[in-house]
Amino acid sequence: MDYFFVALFVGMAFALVGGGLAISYLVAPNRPNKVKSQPYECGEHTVGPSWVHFNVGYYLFALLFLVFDVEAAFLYPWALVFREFGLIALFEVGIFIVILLFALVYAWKKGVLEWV
Amino acid sequence: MDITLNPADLTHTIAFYTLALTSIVAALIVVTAKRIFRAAVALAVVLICGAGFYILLNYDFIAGVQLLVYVGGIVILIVFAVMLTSSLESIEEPPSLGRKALGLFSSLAFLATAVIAFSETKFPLSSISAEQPKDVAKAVGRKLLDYGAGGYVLPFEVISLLLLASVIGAIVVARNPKRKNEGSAT
Repeated sequence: MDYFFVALFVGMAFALVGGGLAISYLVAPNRPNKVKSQPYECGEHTVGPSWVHFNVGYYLFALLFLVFDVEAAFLYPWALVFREFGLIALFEVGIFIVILLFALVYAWKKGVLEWV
Repeated sequence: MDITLNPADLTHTIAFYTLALTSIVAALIVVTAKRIFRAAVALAVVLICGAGFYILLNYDFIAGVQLLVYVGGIVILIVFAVMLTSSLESIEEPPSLGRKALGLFSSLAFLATAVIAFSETKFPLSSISAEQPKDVAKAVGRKLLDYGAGGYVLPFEVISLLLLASVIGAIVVARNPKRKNEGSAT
């Protein structure tokens, strides 16, 4: 029953958030007026819509992140067993990481890492 | 799946049907949501349910990869892509009848192909999962580092080449060469 606690955690997360919202809905008085219903951000009136366009630089960062995310997924099983293999495991994963370092160097050279 | 009243199997059954129902509902939201951002969030729910199915199959490692790569990576990428599009605030027009019919036809064709392929294929049972279902990640690691016969060390190294190629490809495709001269245009 390893995942019993995961299920319990998910259930409690839903109960906490849902319960808080439900109690405030039931208990709190609901008397909206024009000033109260205005959106605000840290006490300031908002300027423009909240859906702004992201800088395209984020997308390239996300692409790079995805590739190194996959790398991390492959390093996890390696990390579990590398003691059994010793130096050869280090050598094998060294090749793996060095090849991927070229990807980072390429991105660096092409200016992807520079924030505009 | 057999529905038995054995307590362990009952929780399994409940978990399976909960996940199945959640993923079907979320998948319907993905295709019917009028705002594209909501579709992206519902897609994350579908993928999380996929990880739940892997856990039910005792494939903890694959579930972790599913969460790490698909939920943590692909969905983020989709969200960024959505944030970059100009039609973020616009509400999608309902598609025409012809497009709906075409979509229904192609999805049904895909479903039929998938059902036929999965029911016709004889899947070889891996010795890894039969031996120690809880140590799948360790078994995967051993196979990846094994340089003898039946080992996968060459594919392991080739994966990094594949990832390198995908980085270069992504940068070449996504990066606009003019931007570098323009400077700080958002």
